[in-house]
Amino acid sequence: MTDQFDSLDPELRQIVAEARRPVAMGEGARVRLMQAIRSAPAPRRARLEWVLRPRQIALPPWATVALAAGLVGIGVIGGTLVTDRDGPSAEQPSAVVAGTPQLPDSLVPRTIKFVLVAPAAARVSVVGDFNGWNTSATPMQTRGANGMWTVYVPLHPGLHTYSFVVDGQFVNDPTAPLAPDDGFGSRNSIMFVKGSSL
Amino acid sequence: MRAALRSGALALGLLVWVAGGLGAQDVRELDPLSPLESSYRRSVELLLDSARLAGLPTGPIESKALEGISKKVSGRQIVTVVRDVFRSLLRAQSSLGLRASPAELTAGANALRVGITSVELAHLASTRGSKDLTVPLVVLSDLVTRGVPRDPASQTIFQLWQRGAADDDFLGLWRGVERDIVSGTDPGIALMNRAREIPSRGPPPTTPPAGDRPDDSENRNR
Amino acid sequence: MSDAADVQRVLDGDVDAFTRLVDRYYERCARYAVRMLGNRDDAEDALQATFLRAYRSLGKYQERDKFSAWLYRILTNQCRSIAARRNHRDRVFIREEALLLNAPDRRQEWNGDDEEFVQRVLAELDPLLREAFVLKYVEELSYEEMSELTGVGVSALKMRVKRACDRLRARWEHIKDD
Repeated sequence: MTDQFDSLDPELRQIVAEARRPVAMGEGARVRLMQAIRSAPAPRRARLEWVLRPRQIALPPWATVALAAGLVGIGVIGGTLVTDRDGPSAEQPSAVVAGTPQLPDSLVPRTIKFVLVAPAAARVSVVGDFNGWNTSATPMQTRGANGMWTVYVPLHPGLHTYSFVVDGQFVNDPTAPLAPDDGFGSRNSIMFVKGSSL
Repeated sequence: MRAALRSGALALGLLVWVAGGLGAQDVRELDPLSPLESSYRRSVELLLDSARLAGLPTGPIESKALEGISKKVSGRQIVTVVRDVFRSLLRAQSSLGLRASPAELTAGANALRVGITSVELAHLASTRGSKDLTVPLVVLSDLVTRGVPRDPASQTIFQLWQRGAADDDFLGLWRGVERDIVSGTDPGIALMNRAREIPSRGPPPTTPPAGDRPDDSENRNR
Repeated sequence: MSDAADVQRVLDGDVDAFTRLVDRYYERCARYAVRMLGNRDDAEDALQATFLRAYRSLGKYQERDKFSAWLYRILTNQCRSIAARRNHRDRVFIREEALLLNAPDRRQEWNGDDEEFVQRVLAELDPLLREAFVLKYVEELSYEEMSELTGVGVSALKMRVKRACDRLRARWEHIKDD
């Protein structure tokens, strides 16, 4: 028995011929893929991998400045609806929006800073539609005694629902609008991230 | 430029990894619904398929299921809630139209769940031109959730919308009302006071004839 | 522009070079994913996961591998995962309803041009048989290439291809008798 196409029965040849025809996926699929690629961290050669292993560290102040300086080419705005209760954030990087040439501005992710003041907390994380509500995916960091917990998260323009998890309890963001009772007995917070064209 | 891109990309990579964001998510990306028992899971997946066929965003539906899993809610309750989300999105779509963005649909669905009617939503949509309805709808849902009576809330938002209020106006309104409620002011009064502070930005609205005004007789069963 | 050169460019920070790689392989991967998974939504999930994983793991790609083979290893694994975790029959059924809306007219007899029919018969094959059949006849790989890709021995793969053909033949006979 040979396995070549020409030696197949005519019926199987027909099946194969049809199966070999190209498949149209629709334009949206490619756009969604490139959107995801562009918001993923850039790959690095293997020898540099150690730098990018996830670690639980608090950012020292010099790193924050370096980050602010280094966030070129990535659109950065404080979320429309996320503000520090206690005043303007000194660490807000300048809004340099280079965007990307091939994606419309409405698809470029924005870096959003989440802030929660919780001086008595031992562990705080943020959960939401951007991390599958995974309570360990996005831990927040605190520095100093003022009880302020923060994390930066890239979010695509659009409506996002989220909550904080403080020592295992779901807590909404006191500085953000509420979503209606979700049927799970709790209310989440809402963040609307604008594309730069909006 | 390349060096700047590289350091920018490295910086973003660092902060994302530090936040433990995309790394941990990669594992759950492959099978996020796995904790659900198979019959409930099938129900959720069928709802997702139906949403896709209807052109609805599947994000809010899947997200609601994942939220339920995270909050350790029973599978049956998750399916009930997810079905509600699907239905509200469908109703929002029929009121806001097929051109509504996913954000508008989600905000519209939220508004329906606090008791805003389909007719009211459609009315807003009919006057929107190229403006985005998301922020006014988010603010409206929030205010009702916090205790502002439904009718004054929706009337106020409509009026502001028709007078050309921008997203920042709605957000300012929301912040002011929220602050006042927290300080003990009656929610309805807080809204009235703060709404007065917002200047008109457009020509005077053309009031629709009485027969066309949104009314409360719309069936609000969900 | 060779694949290896584009990989190096991406590692140097040029994301657009990855766009070129995607352009080169997306359609072929899409065809494989749709034939394996039976509907475009699952296929899109597989493609998304595959290219994202390839992008993130580019630092691990060794130039001595053929890029297409390396990519296909990721793709076949993703398709297996997705097929395993979803109730395949339910989802194919729903998509077929959608396909029916587009079909020119319902025919009892297959005229050889019906994508829906091919998807249905492929879906009825055991996933391992389907994979072997598609890699052999649709992707036109050699058994050696298939073995490298799947980690399965050549003789086991030949057996799977033969069983897939037998099943499809029997299915065809059954249709003809209807």
